[in-house]
Amino acid sequence: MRKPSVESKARELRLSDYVLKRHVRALRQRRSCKRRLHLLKKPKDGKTRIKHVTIVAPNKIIFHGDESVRNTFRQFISDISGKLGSEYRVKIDLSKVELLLPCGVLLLLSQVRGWTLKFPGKLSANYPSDEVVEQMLQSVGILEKLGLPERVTVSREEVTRWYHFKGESADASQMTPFMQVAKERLGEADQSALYDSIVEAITNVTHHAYDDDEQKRWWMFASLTKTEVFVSIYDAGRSIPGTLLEKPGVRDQIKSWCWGKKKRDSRMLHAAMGGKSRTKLCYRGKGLPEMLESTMNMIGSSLAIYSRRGLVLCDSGADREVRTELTEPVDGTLLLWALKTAKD
Amino acid sequence: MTTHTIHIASAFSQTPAGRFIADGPFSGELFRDHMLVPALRSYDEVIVDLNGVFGFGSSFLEEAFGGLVRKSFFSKDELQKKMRVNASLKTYENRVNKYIADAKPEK
Repeated sequence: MRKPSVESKARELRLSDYVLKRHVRALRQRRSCKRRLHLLKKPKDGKTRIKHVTIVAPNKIIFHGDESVRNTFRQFISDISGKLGSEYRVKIDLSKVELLLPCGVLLLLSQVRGWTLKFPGKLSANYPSDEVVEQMLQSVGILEKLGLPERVTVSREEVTRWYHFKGESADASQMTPFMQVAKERLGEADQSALYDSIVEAITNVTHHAYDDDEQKRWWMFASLTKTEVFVSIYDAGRSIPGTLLEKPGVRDQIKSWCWGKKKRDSRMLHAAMGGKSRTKLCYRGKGLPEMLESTMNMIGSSLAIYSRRGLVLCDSGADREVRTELTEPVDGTLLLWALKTAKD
Repeated sequence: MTTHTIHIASAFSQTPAGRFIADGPFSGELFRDHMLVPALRSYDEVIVDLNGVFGFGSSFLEEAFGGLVRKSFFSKDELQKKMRVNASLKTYENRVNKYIADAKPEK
């Protein structure tokens, strides 16, 4: 038999390649279809197939301060929301958490409440390795919401010195023990100023922050040391810039002042804090202006407000206000207030 | 002449807060409508004792006292004659007087 020519062999090879490619492609498509069908197919017991994922919590649950730490925390929250939204069952691995600050715990509390309401039974967790972290998460009720029964006694000073409150209305009666201690340590005038600012802040939340009464909620952490009072309040509502823009008269005023300018949300926060000389915004509650006044009157005190993309930092020592625009917006409003006491 | 004293801390709450009844259990509107207005209608003189509470939010004070004029329960002149405020912190007394002075009857 005559040997095939090089050209004809090449031609044959090219044809074989083509056939092979088509064959491989068809096989892949078939496999892919099978895989998809397999996922769609209900198991024999008739129940929908459940996907599980474990998400490791970052070692620092902190929102205020370092941006990379904040972004890691945000990513953690976003990962959980994303997986729960994609019908996964999520297990939060809390074993790596070493440090909690009120700003992070408040945001986590709000998120865990939202997740457990929206995706009941789909969220679980394991216990933290760190004793203080476990005591803190137990005392604020996060572990219970994640289905973990209480197993430790809350005794560490880092945990017991924090008062935590939550509510749906402007009911301050739960703050009585905190206010009694504050009165003893600060004296009547400073304690009253503290109370006035806090109740105005939570009244603002009940008036402005939420559309839906069922969602209405605020969370608060407070602590008193010999030299400092620290208060942190969070709500997951529409944010201060969001509510300002919903009021027609104010919206026009704000737009003329902020529109097209950089740092738009932080400018609006500034206006809500009493920057009335420029905006003449008089309709809002007095909580923020009163907090700002108390902050500026006490040396070494500071106030930070995160709302949507806006961040305003006020420092009485530096006697200045810093306005920053965040790269990613915050859900709602977070307020961090540190007051140096007169007895320092 | 009949005189009546309302001691907010013991008769109402140590933790007054909020403007409207929907805001919370110890709001300015509730205090005004259920304690202050009935007392002002029943007695020649009413002394409102603000001592003993942890504080007052501005919303509470404005609604409770400014609201007396805004909602046309009493005129500023009537309140000047009938009501006295007693507070160890003068700031509260001044704020109550300011809210009454600034209030305008709603049409």
